[in-house]
Amino acid sequence: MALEYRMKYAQMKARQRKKIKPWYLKPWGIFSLVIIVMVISFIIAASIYIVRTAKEYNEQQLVEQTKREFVRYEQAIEGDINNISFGPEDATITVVKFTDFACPICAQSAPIVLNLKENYEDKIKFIHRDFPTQENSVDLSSGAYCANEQNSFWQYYQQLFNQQERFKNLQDEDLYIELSSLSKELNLDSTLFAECLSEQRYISIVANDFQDVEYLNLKGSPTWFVNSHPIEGHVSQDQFILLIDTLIRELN
Amino acid sequence: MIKIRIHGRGGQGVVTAAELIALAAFNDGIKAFAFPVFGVERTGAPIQSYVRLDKEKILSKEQIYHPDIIIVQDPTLLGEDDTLSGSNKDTQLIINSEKSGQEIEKIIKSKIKEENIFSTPATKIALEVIGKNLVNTVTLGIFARHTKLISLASLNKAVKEKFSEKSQKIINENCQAIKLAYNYEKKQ
Repeated sequence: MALEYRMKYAQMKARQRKKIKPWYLKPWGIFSLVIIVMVISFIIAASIYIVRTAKEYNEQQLVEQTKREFVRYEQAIEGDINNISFGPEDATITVVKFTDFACPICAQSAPIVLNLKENYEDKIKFIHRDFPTQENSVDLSSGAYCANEQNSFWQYYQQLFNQQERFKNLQDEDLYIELSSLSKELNLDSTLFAECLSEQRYISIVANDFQDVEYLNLKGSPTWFVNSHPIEGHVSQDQFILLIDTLIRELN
Repeated sequence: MIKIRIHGRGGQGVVTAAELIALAAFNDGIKAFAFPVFGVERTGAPIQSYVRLDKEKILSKEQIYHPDIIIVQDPTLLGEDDTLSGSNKDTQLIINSEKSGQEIEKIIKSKIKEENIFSTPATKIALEVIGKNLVNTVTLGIFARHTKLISLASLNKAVKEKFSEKSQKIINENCQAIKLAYNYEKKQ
């Protein structure tokens, strides 16, 4: 009896086990699993997409920002249309010199600029920028810009550096008188020149140049830029001309 | 005692700036002692000058190695090692610059807290008003405004005393530049 009962019990249990399937094997369980897998897949795919898009956006932003900074850097070096320059606009070599008419080291390197003007005017573009550091620097620069009104910037430039000692300790009216005398010596209309000087017509050019000096974090004058590469301090004429000749050979 | 160190270049009136602070402080009834230190003596070379201000008699005569206030007249000197030496986060930095305090804090790698950096484009003001890159009096206007150590009236009086041998035009231009700097609000 006991054996028979046990067998019946075992059979019943087996039937029950067959009936009681785990939830994930039941149709609704399978359906739920499919839905869960789909939702998880969707979340993973969406996350990957969002991360990738954000990364691409950030990279794009970084590229844009770098481009903007590069353009600003180039503008800070080359200045604007008001800055005195010579040479073709589309030259492959651009030389910029941040200089101070009151600085003796700038005077030492002034012949390099005049050499470039005489011998390389058709090959390179040169831009003059101001780096006023002394009390009378701005007035000296103004003198050169006023001479430019009478197409004599470079003659005046040369004389300001050649005769640096003449203007060294002069201020205000004394300096204006001496700068006007120089304009007379260069056969300029000294009345027009003196008017220009006293009106301080070109002070904004010097102010903009100094703003760029700060932006570029320049440490001293002169600072050169050859195709945006900075060169600080005095460079010998031979070395500089060798550099320019090499660049002309390689880039043209 | 308040210790002030001024940085600039030869020819920019660094020594005069220290003397003007001392004179203005004296006008306000504060004891002051100012003196310069020259490096290579040439125009354009970095120069420092020092001012000590106190209510008591000042006996200390040595250079200032740990200033409470640093005045930088020429922004191109910010990269020099000496300029911020001996400073800490609470040192006040008064600087002639087009850059904002936040930008300067970044450049100086947070050696001084942004809230202690007072930047004003003194060159721009000097060129507009005086017509020269002569920023010493302009930076003193900023100094007076932010530190309140000297009054604007005392500073103007000091300028008149110090520049008494110069023309009235120069005195007026300097006083005007100081006033402009004192009231300058940076556009954000």
